[in-house]
Amino acid sequence: MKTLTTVLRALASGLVAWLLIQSAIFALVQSAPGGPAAALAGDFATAETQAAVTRSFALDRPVTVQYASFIWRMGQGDWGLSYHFRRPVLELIGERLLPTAMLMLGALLIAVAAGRFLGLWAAARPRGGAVVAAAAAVAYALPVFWVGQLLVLSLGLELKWFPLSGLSDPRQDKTGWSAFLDVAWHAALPVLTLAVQQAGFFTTLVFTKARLEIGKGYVRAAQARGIPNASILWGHVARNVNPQLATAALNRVGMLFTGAVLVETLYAWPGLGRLLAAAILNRDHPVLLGVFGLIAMTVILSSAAADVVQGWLDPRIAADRGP
Amino acid sequence: MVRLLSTLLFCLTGICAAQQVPVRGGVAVIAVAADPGHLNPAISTGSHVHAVADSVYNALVELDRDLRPQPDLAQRWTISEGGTVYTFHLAPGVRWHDGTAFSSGDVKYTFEEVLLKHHARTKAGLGNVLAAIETPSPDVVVFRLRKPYGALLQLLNVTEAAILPKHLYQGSDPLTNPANLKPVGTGPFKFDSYRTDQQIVLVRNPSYFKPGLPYLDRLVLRIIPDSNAQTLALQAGEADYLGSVNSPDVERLRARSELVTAQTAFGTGGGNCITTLGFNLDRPAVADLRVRQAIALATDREQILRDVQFGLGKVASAPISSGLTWAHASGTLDRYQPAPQRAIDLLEAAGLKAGADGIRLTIDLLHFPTFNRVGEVLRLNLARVGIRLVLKPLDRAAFIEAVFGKRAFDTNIISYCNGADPDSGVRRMYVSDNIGSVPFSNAAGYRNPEVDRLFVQAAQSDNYDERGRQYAAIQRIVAADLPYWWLVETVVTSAWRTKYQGFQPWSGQVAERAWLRP
Repeated sequence: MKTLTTVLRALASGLVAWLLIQSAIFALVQSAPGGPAAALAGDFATAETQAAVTRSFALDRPVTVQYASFIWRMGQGDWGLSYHFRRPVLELIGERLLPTAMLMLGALLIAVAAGRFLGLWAAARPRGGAVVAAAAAVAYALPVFWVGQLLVLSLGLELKWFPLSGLSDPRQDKTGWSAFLDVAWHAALPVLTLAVQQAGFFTTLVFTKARLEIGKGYVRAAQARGIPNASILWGHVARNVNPQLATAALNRVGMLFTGAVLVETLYAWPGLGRLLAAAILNRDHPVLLGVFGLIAMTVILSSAAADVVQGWLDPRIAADRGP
Repeated sequence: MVRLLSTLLFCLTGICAAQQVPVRGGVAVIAVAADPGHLNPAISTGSHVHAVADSVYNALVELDRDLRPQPDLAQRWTISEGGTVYTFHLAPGVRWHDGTAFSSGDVKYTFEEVLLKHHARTKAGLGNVLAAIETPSPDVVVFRLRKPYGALLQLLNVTEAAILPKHLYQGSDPLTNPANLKPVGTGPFKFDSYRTDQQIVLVRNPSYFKPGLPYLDRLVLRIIPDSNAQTLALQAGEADYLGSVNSPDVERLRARSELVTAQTAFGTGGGNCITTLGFNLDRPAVADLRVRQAIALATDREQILRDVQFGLGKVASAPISSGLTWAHASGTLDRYQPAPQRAIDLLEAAGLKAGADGIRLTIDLLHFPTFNRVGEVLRLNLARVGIRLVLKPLDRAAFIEAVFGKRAFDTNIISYCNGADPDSGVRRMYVSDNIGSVPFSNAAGYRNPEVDRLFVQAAQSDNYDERGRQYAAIQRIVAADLPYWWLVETVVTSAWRTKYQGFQPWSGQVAERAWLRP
């Protein structure tokens, strides 16, 4: 019951936040220099052609009317038609959801697992730990694009372990199990690229938190009872790190998306990031609003989920919220 | 002689295609830079559409490597005395990919209902020229012109005027017709599948009207947005052909024996391009001719060629590209050799004294991010004579609005592609009735009645000696007036795996004659 109230309260405030975000994005998109007509009408388009394009997408209406109609339609589940593709925005997003989800979830799982292991391991070792922590900070600071280039050149071009671009083999169509393996093989480098930076983040987080925990009384008490250090670390300390790690992981979704835009461009991965990048250049407003709307929704939902998950993993937090 | 030289050049760059007998079969993966959005070449000038869709369609003529018109759907043609009636005899036995017979009605429909309404370049080029299109029989099309127009045949290739199937488009909105996503053409390759942002697959058209062609079984157009990633995909063997290689990568690809590179003045979607500094003549800062002359004399164009283009291309020696040999007035710009001291004298004469910080004048430079490095060289060059250049990189939509919509700029950089004829690719930059919101029109705001008159005259003749003299006169005038400062001619570098032959990088139909060595 408590959980349900928490979820409902989070959803209600989430909806308000989402509407505010969508309105802000609408205003930003509108104020960007150069409108869709210039992008759509093409080179050498006469004023008359540009006006026709403007009319055909109803861009000649006052901005307030456009805004009202946008919110009204979005409320009804109609996210509009892409100017550039001339296809429904939801359809375009739907096509690219799975490839992007694959990248983000794959990278998140690897990064959380690696960060948890490395962070805890390093926290228990005064000297070796410092090296790992420093390396993690560097990994977190490196630009995704640059890490990607290095991985492409080393694991891709030099060692030829993984393909460099796309979702699948261009020369043959595969089906069933071999199609799955083909996609997974193509996903290796983009997932790894995204994971490196995130692993740096999670390692640093776990390392810092675990160092704090290790100084606490329950650790000394456990040591006094003769429990082996390894058990204390992976049993007791780890349990106290988990809630914060889970929350952080769920709150990384927005950050991961930023990385996905770059990674998808670098690896020619057909996901939402590239849809967004192209929509910005084309001033494809419906697609921009749709993709941003989806990101905002994901971020809001995942931080609501973070609240709930934290309660599960750490009953003290749930208790704090009161009845 | 020119022929011999160009053959020799072909061989030097590794495309001696004639020596071997082509064989049938194989797949080619072609890297393209962006998802085309749709595959209708008749409603768009976008190079991303043409890079894919042109292989599915044909036009009345195709242009060879030297931009001379050759038969395509029109097997032969006659031009009336006076040059106002063009009669095209269509190739027999041409069928659309769905089996329907192609006829003159398709040509008439496509021009009247699609090209002249929705293809921005063809609309601007032919809209005022064409009086009527007649179809006396299914295999004859007659174009009646309002006035003689020497550039007509150059504007009828697949990039400018692809022919659509009337039976699928008639009565519909060509912008939203379902065939835009599943094209049915007459071309060498048939549409197979389109996965957005991934790849478009085309397969061999077994009943293509050109006997024996094409050779390849499949064409995969793979969308790889990042140019560095394109080059790497080519090196790794994931792609077989790349239409446009970044200048810094050319040397690296050249050194590899499994790859062939070629330089052409034309690429898919345009050619004979000159990277040009444009002045806004409405802005007092650069309205003074002496200031523009000073900027020209302060610029080290060799440095741009060397440091930005890695030596590919050449310093512009005239306002019209050297690729248009008959129109190019070589040496017109020789008077502007770098001379910083003379530039300073001219600025002094114009009343621009150096301030305490050495700066006489501050102007902005609007450009696409692709011209960042050209802008840097210009900034350093002009700093030497006391002009502070403020670089303002903008994306395409914002640039078009600022330059052609609001005219809010002092100077800009645009790559002006002269195309196959000066009337389509050069006139637009100079004539006074083309100033305004039209993208890539007369950005300078240049007005000269004599130049206007000469452009009209030059377009009406089909005598190339006479036209050449008129274009030379124009170039002498604009070289003196300097509404623009023509920096460097660029070339398109394409690259492909050595086991392939016969790619046509200058054409939209890049793989019509390509084949894979067994």
